[in-house]
Amino acid sequence: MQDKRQRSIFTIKKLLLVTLVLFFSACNVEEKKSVNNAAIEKIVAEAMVQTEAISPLSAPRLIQANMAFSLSGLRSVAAQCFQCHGTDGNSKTGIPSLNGLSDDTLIQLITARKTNNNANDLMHKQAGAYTNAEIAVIASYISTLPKEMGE
Amino acid sequence: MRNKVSGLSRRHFLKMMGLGVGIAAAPILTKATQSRPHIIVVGGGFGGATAAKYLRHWSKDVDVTLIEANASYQSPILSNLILNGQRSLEQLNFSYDKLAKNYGVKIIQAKVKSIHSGKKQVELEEGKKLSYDRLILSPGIQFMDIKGLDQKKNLHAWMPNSEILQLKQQIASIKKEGVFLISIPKKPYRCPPGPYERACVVADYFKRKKVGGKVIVLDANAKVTVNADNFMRAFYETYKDIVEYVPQSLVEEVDSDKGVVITEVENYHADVLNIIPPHQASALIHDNGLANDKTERWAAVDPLSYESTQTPYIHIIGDSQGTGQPKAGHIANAEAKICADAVLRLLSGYSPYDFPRTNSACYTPITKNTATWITSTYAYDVSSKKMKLIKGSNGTSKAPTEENYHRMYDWANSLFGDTFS
Ligand SMILES: Cc1cc2nc3c(=O)[nH]c(=O)nc-3n(C[C@H](O)[C@H](O)[C@H](O)COP(=O)(O)OP(=O)(O)OC[C@H]3O[C@@H](n4cnc5c(N)ncnc54)[C@H](O)[C@@H]3O)c2cc1C
Repeated sequence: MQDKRQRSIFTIKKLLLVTLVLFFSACNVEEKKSVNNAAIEKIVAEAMVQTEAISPLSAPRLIQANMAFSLSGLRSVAAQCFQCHGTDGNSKTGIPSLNGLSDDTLIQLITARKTNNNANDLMHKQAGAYTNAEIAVIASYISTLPKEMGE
Repeated sequence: MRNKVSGLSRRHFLKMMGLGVGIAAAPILTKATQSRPHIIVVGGGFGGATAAKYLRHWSKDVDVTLIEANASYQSPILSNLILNGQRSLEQLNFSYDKLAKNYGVKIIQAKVKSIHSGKKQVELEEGKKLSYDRLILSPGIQFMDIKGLDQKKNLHAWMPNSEILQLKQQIASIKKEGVFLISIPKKPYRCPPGPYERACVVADYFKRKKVGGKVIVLDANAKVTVNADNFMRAFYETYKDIVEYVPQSLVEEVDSDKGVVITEVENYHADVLNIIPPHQASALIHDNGLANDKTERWAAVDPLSYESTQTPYIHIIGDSQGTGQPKAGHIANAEAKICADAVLRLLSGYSPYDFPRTNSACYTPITKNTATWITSTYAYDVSSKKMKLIKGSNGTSKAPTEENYHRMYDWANSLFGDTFS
């Protein structure tokens, strides 16, 4: 039980820390974006503290992670992918699903489209609009969503 | 005040997120927070249906009622393809059953007559009143008058209904060498590429049917408003013997009986007039004093929550709002998610998320088997407090391709799914 709790706290920390680490690595190369990275960082950090504050509940990992993203508000950013990739990333069309992929894979896939320099690729335009920090958060969030939630 | 969260509201928020189990010892909530919050959404289009769905998808601790005038929704997206027989109205028809079944959204088929914002109530046409904690409006657009225009004869087919079938019939009845005329209002109007797309679809139909017909495009704007390279190539190369594109042609008057359109410079005769009048926010917005942007046509809102700058607890999304983002279904869905998240946060004593993003994407058929796309992404700009286009995020496909044509159906079906099921 204790172990499980530790693990779930660890997962959330990992999800959110991935983000923070990426902020710092991304800050130098990121061109000036209207989104303030430091401010997002603060929001994520606050959400992390809040999530931890109620972690004594034996809530399942997914709910906890989901809550952290709800608290941070970044859920509404991740949901911008779902117009094309399906609700919670569960695609019902020829457009690939994002659901079921790990955060690392998602970060890799999105970043590859961001950097491919192909102006004729719609996803290149989309991916390029998000900071690396946001991509990390989006990836973390989607990687915690259960398959076919809401169906 | 922002981001300052009281212990009480935080607990309430956690409860809303389904995590209230461990906080039974929480102080007794006030009466207001104890009852389940009720959110009313008016209008079941791309904005309203998405908002209703995501509110319930993200929280089972709120009640959501969707009030829509019609029994089902006929999507304007892809509807131009009804004109050349590539889609049927049935394929673009969406019921609200899945929102009810999968998400527990309560559906009421009725027209909202008025809003009593002081009492936080909406009144239905039949007289019934319903109370809300938060109200989300996505009622779309209404058309402004053009002198002499009879909208029953000269259809716009620009609303989510079956009028497109009548326009199809009108076009099918055009005899050899006949003329189809479409007029485009000044920006902003619903679906920037839509009228040019329709001109292409009709031109393609004429070409394949060997009608020898003409398509006249009267554009009130100085030039093609969006995806200009692809559309200009279509007009001046692909359909050079069919399409006559006339920029800077504001329709000043129409003689609906004679089939004549009058602009400042010229009179045009056509067999079918497809006049798209200038738009403004839906009557529901105007009648309730919510059309308060600079132009007095659209509803000014805070883009962090889409809450009206005029009347608290009322949020306006989709084509009715005046943030300057494009008036399109894909981005109406995007705005709905920002709004739903903000409403849930506000109901829990939190402030809305500070850096919302929205995006727009659209595939446009050019011929019977090719299409192009456009896309753009918007971010909240802290200094101007506005949604701004992210530099470099807007673009179009280089050329119409068959691959894009197939992708168009995937894109639309994904959007339909994310909105209605
Ligand atoms: C030909 C065409 C092609 C298009 N193609 C695209 C495209 O490819 N991509 C894209 O992104 N967009 C496209 N659009 C634009 C898109 O259809 C609209 O932007 C979108 O529908 C706007 O959504 P909405 O929710 O604001 O309004 P609407 O979809 O108009 O929905 C409003 C709803 O509110 C209801 N309503 C209004 N008043 C009341 C009331 N008082 N009480 C109860 N119910 C009420 C109406 O019945 C309606 O169902 C296209 C539009 C057209 C015309």
